[in-house]
Amino acid sequence: MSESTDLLLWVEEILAEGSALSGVSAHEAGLGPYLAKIWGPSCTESRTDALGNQFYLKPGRRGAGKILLAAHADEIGLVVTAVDEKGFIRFAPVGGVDERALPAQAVMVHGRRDLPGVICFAAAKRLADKPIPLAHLAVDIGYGREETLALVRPGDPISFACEFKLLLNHTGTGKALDDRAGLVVLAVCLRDLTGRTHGPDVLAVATAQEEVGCRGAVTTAFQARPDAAIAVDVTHAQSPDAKQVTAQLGRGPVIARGPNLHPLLTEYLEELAQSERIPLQTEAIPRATGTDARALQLAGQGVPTALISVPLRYMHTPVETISAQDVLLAGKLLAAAIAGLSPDLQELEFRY
Amino acid sequence: MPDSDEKWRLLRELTAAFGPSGQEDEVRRLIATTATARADEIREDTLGSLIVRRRPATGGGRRVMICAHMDEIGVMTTHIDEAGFLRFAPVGGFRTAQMEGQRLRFQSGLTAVLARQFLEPGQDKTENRRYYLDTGLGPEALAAQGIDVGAMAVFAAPLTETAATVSGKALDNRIGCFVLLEALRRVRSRHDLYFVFSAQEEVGLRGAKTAAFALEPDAAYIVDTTIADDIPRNPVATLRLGAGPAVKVMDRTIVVAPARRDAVAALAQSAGIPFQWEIIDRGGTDAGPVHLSRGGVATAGIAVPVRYIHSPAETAAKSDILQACDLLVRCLEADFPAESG
Repeated sequence: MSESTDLLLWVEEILAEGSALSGVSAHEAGLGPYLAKIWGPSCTESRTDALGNQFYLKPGRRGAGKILLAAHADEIGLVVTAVDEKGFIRFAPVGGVDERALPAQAVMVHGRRDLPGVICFAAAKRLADKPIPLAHLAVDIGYGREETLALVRPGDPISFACEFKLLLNHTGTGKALDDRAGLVVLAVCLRDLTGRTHGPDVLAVATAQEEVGCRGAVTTAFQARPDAAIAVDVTHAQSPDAKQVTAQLGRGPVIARGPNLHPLLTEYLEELAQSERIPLQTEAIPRATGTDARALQLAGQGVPTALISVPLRYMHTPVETISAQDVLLAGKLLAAAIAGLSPDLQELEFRY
Repeated sequence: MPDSDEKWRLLRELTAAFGPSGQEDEVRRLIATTATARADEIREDTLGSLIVRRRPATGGGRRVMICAHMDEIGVMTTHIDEAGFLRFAPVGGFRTAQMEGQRLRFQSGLTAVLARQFLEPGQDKTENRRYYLDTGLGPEALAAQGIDVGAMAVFAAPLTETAATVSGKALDNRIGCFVLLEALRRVRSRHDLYFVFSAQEEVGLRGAKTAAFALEPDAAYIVDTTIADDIPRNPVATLRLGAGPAVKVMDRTIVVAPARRDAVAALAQSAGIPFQWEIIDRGGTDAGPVHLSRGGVATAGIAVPVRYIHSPAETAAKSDILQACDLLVRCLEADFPAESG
C-alpha cells in the first residue's frame, strides 16, 4: 500500500514537472533533461533523430524481438506570424487548439528569451454562438512594435502559461497533459520493469510533431522496425460538453478497439488487465485514430499496434484534467504486458 | 554569366512550357536540355520526376537533394457534349469559379475559353459543374485535334515583365526550376548534389515522395513559391514582394527544425542576402513528404513570394528570384550541420 502511495506521489510530481515544460511541435528538444530523468535510469542508451524523436532503449533478452512504446513529446500551441503596427503579436495555431479557450489566457512567447504575455482582442468582434476568430486575437507582451520586433520573430512558438494544480482525488489539471501524461505512463512502466526479466527489447520513444500530423511516428517506425507497437496517448473523458464519450476519469486507462488497432494485441492487453485486476475502459474508434498508432500501424510491412489512453477532460485547452491514478494504472498495465511477453515476442502470432 | 535578357528568357521558356501534373514531358525536356552541360548524370524516374546529379570533385561530402516541382495546375476534360463544349475537373488547386473568362491552352496549342453556363434562379455560381470550356470546335474537329476525355489544359498566358517584376502562368513553380538550374550552373560544392525536378506536386506532393525514398539523402532543400500577402488593406502582411526570398518555418506539411531554418538564415545574413520568414497555414510543399522519408531527412525550404498564386497572372519580384539563387548556392556550398538537430 505504501509503495503504491509513494508511486502515486511520484506520478503527481513528474506530471507537474512535465506540464511546466514547453514543447510546441518541432520544439521538443527542451524535454531532453526531463526524459533523461524519468526514463534514463531504467535504460541503457538514448539518442535523438533528425525529426527530434527521442529514443530510449531498455534491452531484454537477446533475440526476443522488440516492442516500441510511443508517447508524443510535443504539445499544441501557437506560432508567431507577425507583429502588427501597434506591437501586438499575431499568431496561428499549431495543432488542434481549442479556440474557445484562447481569449484572456496567459501565454509564454518563446522569443529571444521567454516572454510572458496575455491573449487580447485585436478587434472587438463577437459572433453569436461562435468562438472569436483567431484573426481577431493577438498577444500583448507589454512592448510596442520596435521593442517587440527586437525580441520576437515570426516562427517563434507560443505556449500556454498555466500552472499545474492538483485538484481533489488525485486529479491533476494543467497544460500539455496531452501527452506529458503518456510520457509519465512510460516512466511508470520502465520503472516497474526495472529488476524484472522481460523478453523483448523495450524501445520507449518520445515522438515529435504528433499534434501536426503524427510526423515523428512516421520516421520512428521506419527506423525502429518493431515487432509490435503500443501508442500511449490521452482520450476524451466525459465532461459537461462531451457528447458520445464513454470513458470516465478515474476509472482506469482506456483501450481502443477499431481497424487502426490489432485485435489480438488488443485482446492480449485486455486479458492481462483482467488477470492483473487493473480496471480498463474501452473505446471504439471506427477509423484511423488521431494518435501515433495511425502511423505506427502502417510502417514498413505493417506493425501490430495497440493504443492505450489516459482519459482526459478539456483536451487542447490550458486546463486539461486527468487522474494520476489512471496514469499509474496505465503504466502498470504496460509493464505487466511486456513482462508477460517473455520469452519471445516473435513467437507470438499477432496475425489474423 | 549570361546577360539579364538571356536570364529571363530561360524563365519565359520555362513558364511557357506545358506541364500540368502527370504530363510534365515538355518541361522535363526543356530542363534536361538546359541542365545537360553541367550534369554528371540525368535520369527520369517512374513518376516522371527528372533527377540531375552533380558530383563533387572530391569525395567526403554528403548526399543532398534539392527539389523543385515542375508541374503546374490545370484542368482535365471529363466530358464533351454534342456541341463540342467540354466539361472538366480541376487538376491541383484550380479555382474554377474565379477563372471565368480566362483562356486555357491544350498541349496541341488549341485554346479554349472558360465560361459559365446559363443559371436558373437560385443556382449556385460557385459550383464547378456550372462551368465549361469553349474551343469553338465541334466534337469531330476536336477528335481530329486529338482532344478527348482526359485531355489536359493549362492557363494560356505569356510571361510579362517590368523592370522589377515578372508576371504570368506557372511561376509556381517554374521559378523553383529556374532557381535550381541557376544554382546548378554556378555551384562549386563538395557535396553530391541531386537536383530533383519533381512531378505531380500540385495533386498531392507525389513525385518528391518517391524521389526522396529512392535517393535517401542526408539533407534536403526544397525550393518553391509562397503566398505573398502584401496586398491592399491587409494590416498584417507577412510576405512581401521584393523583400528577399523566404526561409520556411512552417506550412501545412512541415514544421522545419529550428536549427535547420536558422542555419539557412545565418547563411543569408552572412552573405548580405535579405530574407523573410515563411509561415503559411494554407498549402503544403514537397518539404512534407521529403522530411518524412524513410527515417527522416533534415529538410529546409526556400520560397519565392508570389502574388495571385494559382492564377494566370502570378507575380513575383525579379530581385527575390535572383537572391533565392544566391541563397541556394550558399546553402549548397556550406558545410551544413549534421542531419540531427
